[in-house]
Amino acid sequence: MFSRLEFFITETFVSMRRHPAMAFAATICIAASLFVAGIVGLIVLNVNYATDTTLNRVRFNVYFQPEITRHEAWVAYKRILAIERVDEAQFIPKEKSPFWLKYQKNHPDTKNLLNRNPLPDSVVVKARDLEDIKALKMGMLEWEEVRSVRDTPDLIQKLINFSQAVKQSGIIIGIILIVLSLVIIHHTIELTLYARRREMFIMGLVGATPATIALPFLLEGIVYGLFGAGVALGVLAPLYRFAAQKITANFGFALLTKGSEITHGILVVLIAGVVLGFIGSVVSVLKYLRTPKSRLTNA
Amino acid sequence: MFHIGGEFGYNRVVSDQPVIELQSVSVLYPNGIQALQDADLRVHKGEFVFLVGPSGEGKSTILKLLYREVKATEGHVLVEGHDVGRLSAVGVARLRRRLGVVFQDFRLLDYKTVRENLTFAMQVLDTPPQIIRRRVNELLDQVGLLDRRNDFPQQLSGGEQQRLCIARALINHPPILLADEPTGNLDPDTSEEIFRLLEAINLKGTTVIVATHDNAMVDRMLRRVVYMCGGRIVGDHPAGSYYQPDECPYDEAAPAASGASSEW
Ligand SMILES: Nc1ncnc2c1ncn2[C@@H]1O[C@H](COP(=O)(O)OP(=O)(O)O)[C@@H](O)[C@H]1O
Ligand SMILES: [Mg+2]
Repeated sequence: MFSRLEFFITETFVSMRRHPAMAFAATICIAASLFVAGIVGLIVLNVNYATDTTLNRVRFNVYFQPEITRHEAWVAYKRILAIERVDEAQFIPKEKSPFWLKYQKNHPDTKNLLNRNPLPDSVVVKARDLEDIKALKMGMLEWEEVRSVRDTPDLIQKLINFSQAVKQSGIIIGIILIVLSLVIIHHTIELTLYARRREMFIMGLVGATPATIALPFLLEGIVYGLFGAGVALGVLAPLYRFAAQKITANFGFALLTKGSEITHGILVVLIAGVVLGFIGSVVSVLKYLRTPKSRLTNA
Repeated sequence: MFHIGGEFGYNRVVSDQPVIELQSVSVLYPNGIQALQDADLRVHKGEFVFLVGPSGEGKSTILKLLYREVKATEGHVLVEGHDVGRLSAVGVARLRRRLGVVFQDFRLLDYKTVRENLTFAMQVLDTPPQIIRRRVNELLDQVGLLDRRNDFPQQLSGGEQQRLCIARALINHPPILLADEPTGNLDPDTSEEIFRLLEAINLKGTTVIVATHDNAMVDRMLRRVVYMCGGRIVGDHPAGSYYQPDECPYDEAAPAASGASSEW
């Protein structure tokens, strides 16, 4: 079994050495796809990281109309609590409002300056997801008990928009690149099959099974996938480290540089490479094995 | 059991159970060429059979039927009792382990050495390395290429390349050897040497079928001769008699002139 695997691996590399240009093209194409996928992934990871940690305020304030009673405000608060996308909500009676508390603290001797608390009751809402905030706010503004909602800080909204844009374009670019990679691998393996038709013919002639004949070509696809993933990671890693340093130095803003997300990301890139290579070669090999044997005649 | 006589003194015993049998076999290629029509043939274990006839008359097609490169459109092809038309892909692989095939153009891997060409044919069948080493040396010795083992095919003469091709065909001990115009690219002296090698292989018990249009050689070998023309078997001369080319009554029906035949 081991001698057999060794034989097939040797055959695979012999084959790749015999058409280095195509091997290079296939590797580079997979590398490019995975490189772009890697960048998209890193941006998404970092936006999530930033919004989750430094800016983990998926909260906003809802201010009720000043005229409504405490009871009506309390009922509205219960309605907010019942909303699916609301994670938590906290009722803030107007006398506990941070503004009122602060005002009283700053003016201990002028209690009569404002004889009545002009602030409304309010609720601090914590959304389940950053992306829910906008819809939640719009919905609550429609209620007649609600006078206003306090805007989320600009930065968060911008990050959310950016993250969504990156995800969407990432998916589109990713699909294009995956298709492109598959086409190029498929093409490379077809060339390999053509270049190695005599080997295939001889293997078939001495009684190798179709699976045995197919194996070196599948291995070749997988090797391209692994090499491509390796190149992508090899370029991405120093580039990212450099970018992280620059960003931290210039904006005082830490990027994700270690932890399970990065480890997972590396694994995902490697697996994606193997899968791409495997699928690309399987398609060509199956096609080849199904073609009439007469095509092998001129081997 | 019966005996096959030969002028050179071999009287050989062959089994009466055919190892190869064609039962009213026809082959119609997709391009409309009727390469074989209603052919019947029985070859016994240990026989040496020449398939002769002009180019393009269906000799290669018979050999391709046997190793299932092509399928019969009608009739049955039996090898060692198995109907090869009914085999699965794995079944075809097993069939081919029972057959060695030799070609006019050798089909060697020119980036591999003599030894590696043989090793390759054993490795794909998952043979253990020690057995490969022993068998390769044994065969190289048998075909006289032991001292050329590290040369590349391009460094060999035509006759040596054909001997290597024969060694590769025999490497996994097939009981049947098929040779398609094995001397088509060789000069007469070298051809003789190849035919004598095939004869020696046959004497060790391997059933040998050789397609050729080298009538002079066939004449000297005094073996069974099956004469083909127009995709039909038109004559079957037993071993021991001198071979006289038959008339070809189907010449007009022959689909392609010799120049147009698709050689291997
Ligand atoms: N794969 C094929 N497809 C179509 N026609 C073929 C094919 N192989 C052979 N032929 C035709 O079948 C006829 C018999 O060919 P072949 O068996 O190779 O003859 P021989 O070996 O006697 O020269 C020829 O006319 C040849 O052109
Ligand atoms: Mg022929």
